[in-house]
Amino acid sequence: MRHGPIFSLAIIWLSVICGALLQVMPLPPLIDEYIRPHWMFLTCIYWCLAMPHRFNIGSAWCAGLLLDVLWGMTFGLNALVFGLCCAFVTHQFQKIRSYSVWHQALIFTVLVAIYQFLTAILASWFNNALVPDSYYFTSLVTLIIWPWMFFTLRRVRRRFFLS
Amino acid sequence: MKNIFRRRFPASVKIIFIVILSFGIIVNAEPLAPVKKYISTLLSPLQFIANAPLAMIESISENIKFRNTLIAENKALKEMELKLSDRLLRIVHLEQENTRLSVLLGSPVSTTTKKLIAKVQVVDSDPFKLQVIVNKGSEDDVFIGQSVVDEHGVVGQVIEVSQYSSRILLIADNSHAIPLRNQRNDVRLIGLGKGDVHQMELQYVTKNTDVKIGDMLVTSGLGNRFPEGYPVAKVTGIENRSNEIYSTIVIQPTAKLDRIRYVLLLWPNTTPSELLTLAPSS
Repeated sequence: MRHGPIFSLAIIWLSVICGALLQVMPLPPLIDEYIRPHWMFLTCIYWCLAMPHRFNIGSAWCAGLLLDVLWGMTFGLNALVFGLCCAFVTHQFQKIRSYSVWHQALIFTVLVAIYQFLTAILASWFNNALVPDSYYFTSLVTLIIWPWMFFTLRRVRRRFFLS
Repeated sequence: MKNIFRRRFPASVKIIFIVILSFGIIVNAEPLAPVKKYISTLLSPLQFIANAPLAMIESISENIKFRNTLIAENKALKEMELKLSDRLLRIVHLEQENTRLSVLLGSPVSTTTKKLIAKVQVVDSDPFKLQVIVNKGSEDDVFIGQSVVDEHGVVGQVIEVSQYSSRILLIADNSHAIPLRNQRNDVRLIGLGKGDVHQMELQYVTKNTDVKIGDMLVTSGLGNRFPEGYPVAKVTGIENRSNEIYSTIVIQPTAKLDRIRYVLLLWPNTTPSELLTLAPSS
């Protein structure tokens, strides 16, 4: 059973919204500071990797804009960094797809760190933000969470026959 | 088979486009504020849903409290009410006297009339900013720049309003400064946030200024942002370095900024013209 592109887009954006929900879910401060994965960013990365013809730079930019509003950050800041990081993934998706999941996890850990670095640079440039000590620690969680995320979203993709 | 060549624009064009668009949005933040408000109103259900599990846990723990705890709590609250009402009786008298005196001096009296209790929603936000979201928005006439206090002192000010929620920048944020007055000797000071909820700093205090450890700092009302007289912070440390003109003074906010649950939104009500007409024409 095959669905049209509208259905695929709806499912993709639903998963992005779920990512946003997990991203802003209240957690105890210690967990929140150190081991909250970047759910929304990783969801965007997955869809850029799996279906770059449906979800790519422009869509990632929009997702970043949503996160900006949810977080109350400078409007457009996350959007820019989301767009740039996903541009890298859509550029290299065929290569990255062929790697094993753990190899992918390693690559995306670095990518999340780059994402955090760019956000921190831009934020401190536009509104002299102060970067907390624990800031870069959350990128390491990607290493553990990515395989789980990959298989979950792949199951979603196959279950709904997205294309 | 998927056709990977079916792209309308090459990636480089897209990248340049989003970079220009993003910088355009970042620079034009002011005119785009209504758009942001609209989107954040659209997304506010998301924040409510995200906050739901915690709210549920809270209501459960509220419901299964033991009888003894409730009795003790009730007793403590009753005692506090008695104490407070005793103080209130005197305050009413003092307030009247104060108003009469300021009218005699011909100085404007600013009072806050409307107050609203708002609940803090514990949703995650910008890692670089100290801010909280509360569940009152433009529907309840919350406005940008409004001052927010809790039972211990000033918490911050509203920086963003959507229909049903608003964002409050805490006084300890890196980008926040608040005009203060030393309660002991009326010296005017500026309290600067440092991005740490337990610590702030006093800016540009010369070494010969009379500030002591333990001094209570209240809002001075200058700058027309915060109403006068609310406690803000206590001086906890003073350091004088010989090669600097200013002394480094560390202050601690009186409000428990890391564990606020309920806050009070204040509406200013300045009516200087009315009071001036009441003043005796000399």
